[in-house]
Amino acid sequence: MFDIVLFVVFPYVAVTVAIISGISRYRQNRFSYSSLSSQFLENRTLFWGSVPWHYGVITLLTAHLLPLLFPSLWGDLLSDRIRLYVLEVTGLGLALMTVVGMTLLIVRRLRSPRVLAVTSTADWLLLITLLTQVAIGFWIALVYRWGSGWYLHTSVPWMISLLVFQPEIQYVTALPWLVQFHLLAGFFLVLLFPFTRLVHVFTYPFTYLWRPIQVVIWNRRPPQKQRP
Amino acid sequence: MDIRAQVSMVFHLDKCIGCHTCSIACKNIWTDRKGAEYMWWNNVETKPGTGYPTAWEDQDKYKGGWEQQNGKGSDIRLKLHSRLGGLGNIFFNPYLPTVDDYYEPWTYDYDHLFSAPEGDDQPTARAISLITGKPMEIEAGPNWDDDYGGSPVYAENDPNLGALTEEEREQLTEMERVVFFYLPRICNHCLNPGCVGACPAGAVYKRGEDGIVLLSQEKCRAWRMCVSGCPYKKTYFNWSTGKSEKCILCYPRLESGQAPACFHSCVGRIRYLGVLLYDADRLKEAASAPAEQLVHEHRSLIQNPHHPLVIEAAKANGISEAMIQAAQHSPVYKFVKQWKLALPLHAEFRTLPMLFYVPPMLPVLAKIKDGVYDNADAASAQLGPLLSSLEQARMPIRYMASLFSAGNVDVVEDSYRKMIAVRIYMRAKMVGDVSEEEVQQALQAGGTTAEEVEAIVHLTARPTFEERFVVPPLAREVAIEQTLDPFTQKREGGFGFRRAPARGA
Amino acid sequence: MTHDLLDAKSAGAFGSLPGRRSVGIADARRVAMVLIWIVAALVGSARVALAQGGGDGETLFTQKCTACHTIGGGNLVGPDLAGVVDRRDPAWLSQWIAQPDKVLAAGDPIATQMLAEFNNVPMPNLALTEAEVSAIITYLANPGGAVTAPVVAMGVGDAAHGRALFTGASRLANGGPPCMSCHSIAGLGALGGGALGPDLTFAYNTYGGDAGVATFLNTMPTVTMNAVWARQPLTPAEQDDLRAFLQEASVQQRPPQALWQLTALSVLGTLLFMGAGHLYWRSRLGSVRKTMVQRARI
Repeated sequence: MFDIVLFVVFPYVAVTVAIISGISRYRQNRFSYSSLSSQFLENRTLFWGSVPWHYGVITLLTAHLLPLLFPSLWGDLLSDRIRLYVLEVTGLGLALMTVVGMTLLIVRRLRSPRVLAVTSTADWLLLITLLTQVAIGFWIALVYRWGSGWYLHTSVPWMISLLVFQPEIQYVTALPWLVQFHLLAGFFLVLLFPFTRLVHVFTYPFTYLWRPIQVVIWNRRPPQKQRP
Repeated sequence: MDIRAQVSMVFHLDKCIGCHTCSIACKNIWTDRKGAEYMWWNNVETKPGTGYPTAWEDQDKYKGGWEQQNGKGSDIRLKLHSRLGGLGNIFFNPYLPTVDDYYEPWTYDYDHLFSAPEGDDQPTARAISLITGKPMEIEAGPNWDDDYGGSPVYAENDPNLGALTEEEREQLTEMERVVFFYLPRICNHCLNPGCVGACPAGAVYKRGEDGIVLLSQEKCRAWRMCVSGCPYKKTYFNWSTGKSEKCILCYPRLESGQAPACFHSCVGRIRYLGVLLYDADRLKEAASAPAEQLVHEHRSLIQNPHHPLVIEAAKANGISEAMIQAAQHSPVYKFVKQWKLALPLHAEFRTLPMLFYVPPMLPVLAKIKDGVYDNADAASAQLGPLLSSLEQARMPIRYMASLFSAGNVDVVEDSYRKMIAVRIYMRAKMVGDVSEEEVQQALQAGGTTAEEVEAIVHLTARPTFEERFVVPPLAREVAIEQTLDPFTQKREGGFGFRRAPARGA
Repeated sequence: MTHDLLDAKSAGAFGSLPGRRSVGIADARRVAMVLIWIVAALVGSARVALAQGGGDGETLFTQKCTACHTIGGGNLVGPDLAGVVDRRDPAWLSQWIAQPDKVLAAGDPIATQMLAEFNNVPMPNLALTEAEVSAIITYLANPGGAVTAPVVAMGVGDAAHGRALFTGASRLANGGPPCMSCHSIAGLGALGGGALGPDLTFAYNTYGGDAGVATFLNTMPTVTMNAVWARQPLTPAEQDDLRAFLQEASVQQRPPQALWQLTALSVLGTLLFMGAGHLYWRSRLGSVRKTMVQRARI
């Protein structure tokens, strides 16, 4: 019963609340959508924190997403032992780098009075959760290897079962509790999205790649040449 | 021709007394908020000096503005990043100035003066940081090197000094030859803004009707690229709200027919405001021209508001009759296009700034020979000590060229020769100790006429308020916000906000 | 006190918002709450598929228990269950079948003794429902005949092919993962096999030899194995090959784990990535003003 609450109810609740609250915040309080960069206040340590953290976590999240989207391709990729090793070792390197990055970000936030002055409780909750999650993820990859292989056959079928509204939790109920914690903390982060600065993930400006470099906005009907 | 209208500006640097009233006017209206304390949308710098933020003119460091593509003409690109590079640097902007390059804003612990316990020494009010709320050591301010303060550290590092010879550089620091002037700066509301190009979210935009460049507080996502993109460093990151802000050219004042606060409050009355009509078709061409031709190309963009073809093209683009009339009375047009006295600041940044400066004439070169003032190379043989020649100008001409004409000495010289002609003509008229012959020589050297000189003198020394500020009617009746109940807007956050802007969720 | 100094500044130009209340986050939260309860109710009543369960005691016993137990066929991995309902207290048996891990952890004497007796191989928790446990006990009380191992037909397997299946060099016909994803065996691979499931080097011996292993590979009774393999089972030929491989591997050495190598590689990777970043962005600004002032002071 408790398993159902954890692995069925909680994920659905987290995603529903995240979507509704996120949209609501975008419509009612768009001003608050900001990455709240603190580079202006302290930039030296930030480089060693932010760059490894972001590049690491984005690559790792992509590696979590690809098996979900292309399971058979992923299975093919891992069928060769050497490819498995290369992928896993790269992932381990990235994971440790991500942990180091986040640790530096937290240490910086504590040690720099200027950055500390602009940090809220929500920020701390988010940072601690993120650090815990990536640290546990790294630990799992190290101690319960080879995650890229068994993830595809346990967590992925479970998440897909949730997506199609036919939950099947047997895939995850007997996994080590640390792995289960990692799954649940992931959904906790989904829940935290709209209430923290995490919303900046969804504002990544892909459109910069193709928008006209100069932006002119007309209040009245623009002149002939400006009209699309 | 794609004629557009732009509210443009001229600052006459010979008139600036460096009182900083303009800065205070802007500060008290717009930037006395949390997160904005360190911002000075209008600031006044002492030149030579490093300015605010420190050494902002050094684009090798700060990567602001544009550069020619592959060193050749035909196209330009942002110095800061390519599109993909910008997305890759989004986690850490490698060229962002930090608060230490501006200054950490502070207040004083005034209460301590009242509440200090009885003691032997007088209580003092310690400096308290406005960011951390804790006591701090004051290391810098927005005009730390004002009036040449700390010049061995600051003025010596003025990026423009690179254009001078070693000898000229040394001369500038000799006590008897020290010379400086003031450079008040606001956002130039450029035709090709670097801040707009650099923003990944597209939050900075140029208004089509009047050319004012604004930063949408709702679209800004704190990627903080605009700060680097602007070569003049006139976008500022609000460290509290997590948004960037910039000079808005007091558009609420403009829209109600008033000059911007800094213009209105200027004690020296150095500021002029007027409309310029320009040809947007040739923007890219003008911005990619070779450096020596940039000022010329920039000027060529500006169109004659009296010319029937220009008027026709303007009307075809929806520019109102009133706007065209404002352009025809524009003092800016006179200074920039007609008399060619006013020049853009650092045209080599290729942003096509619409704020033009009349370069300062500056004082006489004092040379003592046998205990007597001697100036054999004076601009006027008869005015000897009073008017130094251009070649002997106290501030080397190459310094001025580095600032105002992208290094092209001829352009700055033309402006100066006309100003010298004005002075000699007026000296002859008012005092009478210059010969008619010399006046004619000066007029010829300056490429001007008596009539033009009179007009220049009138607009420089005796303009009325309405002659200095020709504010066009920025008819915003078609703007959607005008249809809203004004009482609703009164009770809301103002300027389009429905709730008070606060940091984060 | 300094708090006051800063607060006075933050009121600033935007003022406060009296009067008219617009739709805000509070309302959105209320809507969210209602939706949550609706969703939760829907979900709670949704069919939650657990193990391929249900069914009568005999089917359950065959699927879940025969990998380790016989009825009258002698000890296998675990004890022969003939007459077990008479030997053991019903309440204890019920609790034991449902949660053997908890009973052992609680220090139960019977459980502890059995653990020692049967090669220190604990009985796994198969996440059986109460109904399933009852059904099994009912069946055990009256099995209607002996159940010997193996319960499946065994063929001759090719150990070499089994090894290929284990490492993933040969893909499984029904799309299952290579065993190496979760299991290590006999020092296979420079960095070893997986560590989510147990090391299988001596599994052939520990899990009942040919009979036990054959049944296990066919029925996959444990929870995670069952989840993974239920919809993509091993073919009989693959089962034979793997069994042959497991037998072959069981006589080999088991080398130390690759944990330290991997940790070292992680540290190396981290340093390389961060070093590359430092090199790529080496022209980044520190503090322009402070550097300039410090240089002047020297």
